[in-house]
Amino acid sequence: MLEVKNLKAYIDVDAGVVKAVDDVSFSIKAGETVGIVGESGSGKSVLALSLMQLNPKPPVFYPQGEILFEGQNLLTMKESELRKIRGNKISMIFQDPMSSLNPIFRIEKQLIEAIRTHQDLSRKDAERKAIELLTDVGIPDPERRMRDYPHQFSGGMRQRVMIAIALACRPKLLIADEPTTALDVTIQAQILELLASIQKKYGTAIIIITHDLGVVAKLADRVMVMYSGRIVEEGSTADIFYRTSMPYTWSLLRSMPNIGSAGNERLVPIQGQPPNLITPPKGCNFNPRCLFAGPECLEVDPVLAERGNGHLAACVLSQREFNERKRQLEAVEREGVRG
Amino acid sequence: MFKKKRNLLALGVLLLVTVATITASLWLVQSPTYIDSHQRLLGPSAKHWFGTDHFGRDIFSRVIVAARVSLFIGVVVAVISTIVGTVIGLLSGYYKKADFIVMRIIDGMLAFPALLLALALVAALGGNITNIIIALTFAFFPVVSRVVRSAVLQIRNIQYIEAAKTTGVSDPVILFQYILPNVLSPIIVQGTFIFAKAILAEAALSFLGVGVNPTTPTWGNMLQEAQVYITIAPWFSIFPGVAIVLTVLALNVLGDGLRDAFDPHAPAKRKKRTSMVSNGEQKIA
Amino acid sequence: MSNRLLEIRDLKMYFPIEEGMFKKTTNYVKAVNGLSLTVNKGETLAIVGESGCGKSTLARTIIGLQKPTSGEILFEGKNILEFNHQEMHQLRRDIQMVFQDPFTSLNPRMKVGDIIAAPLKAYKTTKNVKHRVLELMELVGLKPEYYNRLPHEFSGGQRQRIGIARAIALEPKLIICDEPVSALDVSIQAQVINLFKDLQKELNLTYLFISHDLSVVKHIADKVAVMYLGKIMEMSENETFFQEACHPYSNALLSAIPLPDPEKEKTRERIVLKGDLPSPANPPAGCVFHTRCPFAQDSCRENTPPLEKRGEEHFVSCYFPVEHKPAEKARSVVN
Repeated sequence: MLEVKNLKAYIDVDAGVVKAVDDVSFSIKAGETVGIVGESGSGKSVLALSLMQLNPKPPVFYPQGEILFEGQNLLTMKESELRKIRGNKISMIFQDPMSSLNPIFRIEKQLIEAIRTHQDLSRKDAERKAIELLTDVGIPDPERRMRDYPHQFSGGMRQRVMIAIALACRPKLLIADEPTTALDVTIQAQILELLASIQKKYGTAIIIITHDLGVVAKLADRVMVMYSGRIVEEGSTADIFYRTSMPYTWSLLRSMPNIGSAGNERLVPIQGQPPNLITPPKGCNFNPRCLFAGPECLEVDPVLAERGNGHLAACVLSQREFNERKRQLEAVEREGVRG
Repeated sequence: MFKKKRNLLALGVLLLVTVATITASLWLVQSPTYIDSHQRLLGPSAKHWFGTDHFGRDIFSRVIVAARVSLFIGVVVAVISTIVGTVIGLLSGYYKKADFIVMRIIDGMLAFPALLLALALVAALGGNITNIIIALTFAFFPVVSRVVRSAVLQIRNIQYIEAAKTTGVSDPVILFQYILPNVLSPIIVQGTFIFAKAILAEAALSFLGVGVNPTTPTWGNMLQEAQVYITIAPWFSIFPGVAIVLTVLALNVLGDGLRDAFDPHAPAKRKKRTSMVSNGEQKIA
Repeated sequence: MSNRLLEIRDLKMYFPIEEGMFKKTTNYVKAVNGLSLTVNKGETLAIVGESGCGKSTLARTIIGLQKPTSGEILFEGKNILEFNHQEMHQLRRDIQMVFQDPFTSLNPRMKVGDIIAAPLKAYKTTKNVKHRVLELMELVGLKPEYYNRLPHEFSGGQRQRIGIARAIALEPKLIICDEPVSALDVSIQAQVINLFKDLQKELNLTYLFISHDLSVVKHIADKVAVMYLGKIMEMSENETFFQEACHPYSNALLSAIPLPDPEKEKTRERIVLKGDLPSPANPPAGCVFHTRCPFAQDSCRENTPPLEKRGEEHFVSCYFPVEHKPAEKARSVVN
């Protein structure tokens, strides 16, 4: 349904050109949930906005690539055609629901407008549909709450309204950019349940962009891990979590605080800082922080390679070599703890 | 900020006027006070570039020399009212208890038009340079203290101020080493504008006849003398007028330039991520 | 009992809600509403709660940025609310704070060295300030050549190190950490958590660690206290909490955290709480949690459960505490 081919999205800043998205390819099938995981500055948000063609141009420009949605290239499409797709076939929800809602209009007006922009409905029908949508996203007493202004809603409720607006036209693809980052855990749990149930009910494909591996583990069928503008590992959720093939993903999993872990044990952080995307390191972008980096990694810039069953990883180490190195390192670390 | 031609030009004009008036005695051919009753109200010529006045004095020399008084008053008023306004603004922005009383007094002062306040004060004190400076300072410092206070209120609750408090840094140090440097930019911008306004106000006061002693050449005094002759000797009014306009305009352009240069939201320093996300959201809405 | 460093007794912090032109006080936001707790020397007490539960207000009140409405804060046995200006100034040496936002908590116009030196200069503890600052920088893992740099040249993690160096400069006894890692990236969080642990061992520090993130808390805390609408719901030792937390709210918080493990995540039962946090201006009568509690009975709506001792160092404020271990208990809810 959506196919991204060799996409590059660069940002022109005073200090140079930031390679925010650097030669990224992937595809999304109808009805699946894909997680894009990365830290801040990994390019995941620029990538998400590229899919909607919402990056401001300038400073963002696309030196290369195609974004094919149902066979049409969004990169070369006119703004007027894009508007027919945005909010209609592809919708997006953002991290901060307050700044995505207009504070001076009632929820009712914003929702009905969203419905009537793309659908030829009378006001009455649109209103009925609006109530239906609010019920779907779990807003109690929608007839009354619809007349409220955004500030009268809590953060979680606002995010529900945003989801309702995004779903207004039954989109084929919903892009959720850090949809729960600004919310409390108990509210996050509610919103994640909601996204899962929507996925089931409407069959919408969802791209969920997050820094939280837990969110991905809960929702996604497939995961792409981004690091410094590249996808460095891609595979089914089980592949990523249990058959990790890329040192970055593995380090990230190790460094995460986790209530499922055994005790109050020491975390193993990733050393150093994420690279500067204007002048990325030579060779593999992760080599300055990688525990397994060898001389080869300073030379070779690895591309995504098949590790079996659609599991792709960008690392010079083969799966066997990686497992071997991992085992050695863990043995050494255990010794260290004991000594 | 000096990459922009506009700002560079403004700075050039100001430097030219300042240097010209300070060094005037070294190079002026005609004395500004030399009276030549045979040469009254002559139009501009090679000998008298700006013409002569009703006593036959050279207007060019007088305009140059007059700048000295005007700029002096402007600078002194700008500096004093900025300092006074800054101190009051800092204190009332930082100490909630002082704030209420001080700001009501300031509001009272702001209720009078600046020029009217100055006029009343000069009328009461008598017109000489010192009194004009005092009067204009009273007229302008309330504006500065308002601006400084609101800037202080904005940053008073930023965490690094609280952090300083919790590490035991004393109030005077917080006020002058933490808050002041962070509110300096609006203060400097206000200062340039007051500089310009003070020059205008001095001219206005002199024009109204309550300003500097009429025998001292100032732009305002010259205009006042010239008004009678405006139909027969327009150059008499035009050149001092142009001098005022150019100086004030240059100062205002400079003030705008400084404001842009200090503004963290200026496009030159755009921050990649924040601006992009907000733009994206605006487009959706 | 001399082991007690900080003791808070029935602390209340109300903020007036002013309405209308004449700022008439119509109600109060009860940010901290009758809270008591104890922090022992050398331990880390984590205060966990969602936004609006009053945990940051608690931190600001202890450090003296706000005067509480009522209650007592005892530091080494002395009530700091009765301190005069001079005593308060001396107290600040002993209690320091690390702030949440590494971007706004450092003065953008001061050099790194000067930021860390500020507390040293305020108390004139040492003649050789620069030497001490470099020592502190080394302690928190900052290179000496950063001394003359400005904060904006650093990433969030390094800025937080600067903030930590400032907080330990005076060798305080207690450090209040207000969400110190929540603004940081995952891979950086772990670095800073480990730094906190190392410093604690090295300098014998006591932490009051405020966080909304239970997974972070698990890796740093000795004791955990859960806060809800200005009150402590449950307090216990780390291990006890993560294995047999028995307040329904604690269990809801635990089960709401998505695990980075898809298998466990799919099979796990969870308590999804209904609705939102009630307004702290009008907290529910009785047990404040009853509006969202899946086990609430009539008695919960009428009476406020006291914070009762349940085991060694384990206190719960609930009439119907969950009896099982979290995993079994969650299943019983479903059946």
